[in-house]
Amino acid sequence: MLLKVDNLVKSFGGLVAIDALDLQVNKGEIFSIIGPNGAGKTTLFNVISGKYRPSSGKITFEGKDITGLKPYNIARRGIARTFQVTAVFSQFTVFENIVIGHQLHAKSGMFGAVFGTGQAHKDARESREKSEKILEFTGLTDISDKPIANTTQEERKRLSIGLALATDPKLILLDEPVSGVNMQEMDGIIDLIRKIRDAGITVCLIEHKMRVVMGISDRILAINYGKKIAEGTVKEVSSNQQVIDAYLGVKDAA
Amino acid sequence: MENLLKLYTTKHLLFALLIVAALVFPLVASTYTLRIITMCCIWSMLAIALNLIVGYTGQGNLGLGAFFGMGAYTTGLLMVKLGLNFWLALIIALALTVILAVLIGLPTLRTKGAYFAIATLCFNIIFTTVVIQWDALTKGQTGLMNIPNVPAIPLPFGGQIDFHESLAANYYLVLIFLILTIVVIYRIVNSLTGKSFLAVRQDEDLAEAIGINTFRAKLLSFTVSAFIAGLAGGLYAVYLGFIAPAITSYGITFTAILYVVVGGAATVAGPIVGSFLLTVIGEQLTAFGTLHLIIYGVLVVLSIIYLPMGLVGAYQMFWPQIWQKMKRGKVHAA
Repeated sequence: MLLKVDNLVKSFGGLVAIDALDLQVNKGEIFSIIGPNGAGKTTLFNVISGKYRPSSGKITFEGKDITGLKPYNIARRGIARTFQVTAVFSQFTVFENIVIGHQLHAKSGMFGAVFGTGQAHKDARESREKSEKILEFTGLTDISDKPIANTTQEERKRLSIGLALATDPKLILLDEPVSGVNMQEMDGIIDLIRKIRDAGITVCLIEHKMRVVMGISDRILAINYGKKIAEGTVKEVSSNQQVIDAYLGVKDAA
Repeated sequence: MENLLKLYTTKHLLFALLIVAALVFPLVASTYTLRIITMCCIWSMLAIALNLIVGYTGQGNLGLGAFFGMGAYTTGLLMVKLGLNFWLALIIALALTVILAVLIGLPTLRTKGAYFAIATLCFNIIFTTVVIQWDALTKGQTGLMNIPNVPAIPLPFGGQIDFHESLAANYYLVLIFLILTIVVIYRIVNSLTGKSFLAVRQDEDLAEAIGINTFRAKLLSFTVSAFIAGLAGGLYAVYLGFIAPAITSYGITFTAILYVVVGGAATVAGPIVGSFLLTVIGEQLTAFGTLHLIIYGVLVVLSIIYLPMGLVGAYQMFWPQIWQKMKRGKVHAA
């Protein structure tokens, strides 16, 4: 078990966005979180990645308590994330975006750069070499020198995933990785997600498109109003009555 | 690849040429010109300092004048009151400036955007008020006078570099520190640390998510920026031999902002180009008497409207396109 969330609660004033939620993500799987709008999916990601502090509950990663750590610390522990509104550094080129993802592994700091130490050169070389590999992996090699303003939505989606991969994560949290792309591009990104899992990185994703979720997930968690309504394999969750109710509405008794 | 190599070498060649020009400059320049250019070098350092925290890191620090003043006053006071020589005074002054920067950065950098700008502006106003009111130490509004020169540096083969008589010696002193500053800044902004400053400016949430400690990055940038401003202040004090509270004020910060904006924010050359251009233009305009500040103001506003990324920013943006067109033209001609 890679990630374990116990009895997690996150409330904003009187609004309980996540309500006593338990979940676990196993090593090497694609784990999907589904639920209607406002179910608390993105909030859950924000709590796991440290953007929000949980109101109560415990988050364990690789057996260590990471509850309430700052986002940069969580990233250093090996959890990377993407954002729902595709976030990349808009004033960098594609290549520069990936390079900066290596920063957390750099052993030299500012003084190393100023005095041009061997370690600083080594860090710079490593970040470039790794970036080239990631560009290759995410299929962005051809546009590596493009400024972000000249890229398509799909390229930015891939880049945001590449940026997360550049931190060498053990677990990657993808928030709606295929929103806003067309059908063909969607297949490409789904392939990329599978490739990430096959490379040994555990994937946890939020997605609305059922075709995507049912197609690639090893396990699924369905939540509504911040509570778990089902957890299990694709088959188990898709036949769960509560899930069907949450998505299609409850049939009128009259 | 060949083009890249060409670009790389022309850039370095240009830098080397500029240094040579700067070195022989005192031989041909009049005393008046040399004075102005020495001031340009000092303002360039201040503008470079401002550019690091505001241009590269995106934090609207309006308190830089206080750090310039801290460097100037501490250097000056240590020399006048304790009779320390310039080098020792400068080192102590820079150490104190860095400590002050950390103490101010720790609380103010927890705020963002306009709040940070207001917090640092308030700090600067308090600092200037203290300098004015602490009459016993700083001589208040009268200003601190008779700051000694840099001690003469003996040369190995006899003779010495005398800073008392020679304007050129002072010019070279400031120039060497300016070149050092440029080299240091160039290395910082091209390193992963520099890229992390740029990342913080663009998207703090994303920067945190990829493992950058954004608070630490901001504090580092803020402190280095204050250090360079303090260095410029120390040089200012010893060069002019006289300092008044006005040089600690936020007005100094705004002047530096103008230099950075006109020259080009978040570029290495921008603040230097801006400082030299505006200082020289400002001097030329004094011929217009009282009108000169109005003309100066109009020029600055026009440049902000038509060159929002500054001169160097515009150059970087348009030069590759012009270059491409020129190359294509050549091909057609052939």
